[in-house]
Amino acid sequence: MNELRRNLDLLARKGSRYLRRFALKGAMEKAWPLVGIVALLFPLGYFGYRCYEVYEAFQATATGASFSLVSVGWGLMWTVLIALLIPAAFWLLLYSLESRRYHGAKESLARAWPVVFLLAIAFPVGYCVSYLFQILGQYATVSYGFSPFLSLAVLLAVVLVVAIPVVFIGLWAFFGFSFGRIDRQTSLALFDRELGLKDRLQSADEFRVKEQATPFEQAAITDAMPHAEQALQTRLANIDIAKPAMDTIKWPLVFAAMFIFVLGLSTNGLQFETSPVELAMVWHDDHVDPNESEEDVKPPIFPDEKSTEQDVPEPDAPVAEEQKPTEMKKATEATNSESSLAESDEAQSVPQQTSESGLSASASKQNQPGQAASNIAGLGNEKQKKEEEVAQKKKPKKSDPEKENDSKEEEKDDSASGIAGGKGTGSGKQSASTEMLEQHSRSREDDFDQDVDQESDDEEDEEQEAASAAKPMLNQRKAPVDRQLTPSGVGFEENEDANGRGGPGGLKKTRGVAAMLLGVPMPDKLRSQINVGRIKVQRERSIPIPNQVQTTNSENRGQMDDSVGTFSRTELKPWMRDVAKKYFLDLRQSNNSDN
Amino acid sequence: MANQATTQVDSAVAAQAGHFKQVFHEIRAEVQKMMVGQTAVIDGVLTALLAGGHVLLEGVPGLGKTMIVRCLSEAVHLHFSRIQFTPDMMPADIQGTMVLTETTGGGHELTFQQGPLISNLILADEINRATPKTQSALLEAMQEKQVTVGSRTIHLEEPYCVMATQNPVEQEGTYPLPEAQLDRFLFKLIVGYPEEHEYADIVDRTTGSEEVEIKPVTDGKTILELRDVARAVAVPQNVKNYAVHLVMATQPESRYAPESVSKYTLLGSSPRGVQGLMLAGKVQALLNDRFAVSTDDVKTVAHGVLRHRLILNFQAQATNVTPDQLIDDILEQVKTPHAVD
Repeated sequence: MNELRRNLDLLARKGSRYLRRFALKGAMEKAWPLVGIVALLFPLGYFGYRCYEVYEAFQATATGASFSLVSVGWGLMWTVLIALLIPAAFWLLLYSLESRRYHGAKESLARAWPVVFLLAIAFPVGYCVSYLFQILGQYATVSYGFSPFLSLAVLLAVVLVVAIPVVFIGLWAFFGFSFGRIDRQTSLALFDRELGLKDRLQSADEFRVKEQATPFEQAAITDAMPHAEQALQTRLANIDIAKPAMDTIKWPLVFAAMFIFVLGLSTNGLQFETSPVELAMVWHDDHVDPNESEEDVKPPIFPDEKSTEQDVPEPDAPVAEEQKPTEMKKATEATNSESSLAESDEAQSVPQQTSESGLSASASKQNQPGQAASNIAGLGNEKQKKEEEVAQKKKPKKSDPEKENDSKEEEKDDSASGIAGGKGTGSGKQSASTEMLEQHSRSREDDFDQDVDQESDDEEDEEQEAASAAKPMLNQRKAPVDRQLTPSGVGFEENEDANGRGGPGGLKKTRGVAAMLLGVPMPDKLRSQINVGRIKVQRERSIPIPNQVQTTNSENRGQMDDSVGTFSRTELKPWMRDVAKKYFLDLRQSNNSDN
Repeated sequence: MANQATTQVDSAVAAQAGHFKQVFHEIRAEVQKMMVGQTAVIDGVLTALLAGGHVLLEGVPGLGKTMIVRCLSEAVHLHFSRIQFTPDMMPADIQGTMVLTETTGGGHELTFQQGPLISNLILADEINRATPKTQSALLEAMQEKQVTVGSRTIHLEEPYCVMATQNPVEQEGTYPLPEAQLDRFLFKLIVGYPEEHEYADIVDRTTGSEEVEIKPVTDGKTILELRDVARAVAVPQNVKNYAVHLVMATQPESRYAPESVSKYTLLGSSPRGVQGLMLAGKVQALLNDRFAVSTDDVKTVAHGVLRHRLILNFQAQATNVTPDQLIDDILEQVKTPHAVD
């Protein structure tokens, strides 16, 4: 008995010493969420700072400052490296050192493969991101460089991501090792588990201190003796005591941090794509000649401006002036090709009015097309547009063959005078971009359905009429389109759209009350319901509601005359049981039939 | 001197434990003369018999549920009665009733005719085909080991064990067992299909000309002695705590209940579940040459003891969640005491 007690004491101390070593491991496990949270907070804060920085840089462009997109990308890349790689490498180092004690180097590395994978992909991803911004920067003819925020970022990363967890882990491990108490049973359970003793050591240690041990308890103590001696010879270094600290709950923190970075990158990318005004400002800042006077600055012609510079060609304009648009302009033309192409037709037929577009002059001088610039220019052209609309309304309506002839003639005129006048070149020659525009426009016209064109023409006519508030002549009014195949009304002009479909085109229009009516009367075969319809039954689980009663001693408690509480569990009614029963029977029958 | 006395006590206990294990294996060997495979079911039935509990066998027809119980009755040499439950059966049909009999003098008198419930081993075949009224006649017999008919109370002879079978497939014309009766079964054992290599032995033993003879290897007195031995097995405090935690984990909204239990369980196990875990765990400890129950013993018997004590709600039935899945979740979530991880 004494020998068993001595052996169990030795085992308890041995196990306790071994378990206290895991104070560092426990501290790491406790600190891992902290590392994740800190790693998440830092990129969050930096992302917010970068957004503010981008906003301020954009605001500064109004005063002539340059705006570098690439610095944003470099800053974000360095943030990725700092905020993710440093804690990952830090954690991997500690984990490998700790887990090698009881897993071996090979297995500890195998279990740490996610971190290794993260390290492996972080650098290529960071490089790709930086390279992407480098390409964008070259394309936008802006210089790239490191963010001035870099030094501060490094400082914050070191302090927040590394120092705080290190201090936390150190304090936790110190106090855990110094003041931690390992339960004796826990120490013995360590050996029971390692040697597969089925709680023999724990049971013997419990039964040993009993004064009146039963025969089976005494037998259990005797049974544990050889196992205790065997346990003393066991090296606990091989015990697989705990799983690694790679808890799946903590992984989303890392992915959340990565997602925020991706979000930040995409935000900057969107700024580049949708804010060509910024690019115009950048180009302006890089290429403006300080000696050039405002009178020398000639406004560019955007395709969406209703100007017809082709009517007033400028033979003195230098050829370099035509080729002045940079690569950035081409890129922006590509991004805005849809809007430009859509508006190019209007730009060709609009008379030249540029005197009022003062704001557009400075922007168009740089030959920077874009939606934002065109909007600015459009502010000055509103009056011009109205006049054009009035002029169009005053034109008599022509038949389709006449329209086609006119449109062909206009195209010829445009090609002769050069639509490029609308693009701001000011020369009679047709530039390559103008040819592309025309080809694209023609192909697009061929691709569009004829009905859609007619409908858009009608809508434009309606808008013009509404804008001019001019009342058309009665004999020029179209007959209202109805569902009859013949034109209705007397004295009206024959309506070619009266095809019984509520308008032109093969498709039946769905607007208007007429479209909602059946063309052919049909008997109503929908049977009515005698009740309100289906009744939805929803079962909810109810929780027993306890009554608040005062505690009294049992001897002082008299006869209870109050209910002890209500248990509001809803019993299934017979029909509900039948429904459930029938459901499962059908389910089983269907499964059997499937099998 | 003390060491010598201790050695004598230990050797006596070791002899009892050895005898327990020997009888257990002898009975199992006899049953396996007829039964092919189903070792886990046979062990579960024997465990319930030696722990003093009742068994509910569930399985599709033709898997040998009735055969197991019949072979066991022949191997144990106990009074055996079989009750084929039918929907028109009444409580008096199984408990017994007063009948008018003719005396030797030509007179008539009312005498008590014992029902098949008054026996040692009861095979309640297809118990779910009887009405709840008849099923309820088993409650007193299973728990109190007595039968009350009118003013007469009959104490049933020990060992008393009810082994019921039910078919989970044919639900038409059946009556699910009430929770009160389910709770009285120590084990609910699922009888599954045999393995592929076992089919040849089944064919040989059941379709050959050679008859299998099962000899009684023990009797009721020995069974009672073995029950005492099983109850004497020591239980450490950490094992008690673990069993309590497991049972509490089956109760929804308890502190140990996993989320799945709270979501899919209507009722959890009663304290009878802890009793069943302890008794069955003691038998397992003896079979594993130990004198104290371990947490592994409790884990081994957890499914059989707890699966019929978990009453699932409608959501669980609709999503095909089984009690065994919930018990697996419980065993995974509830940590053993003094666990280092």
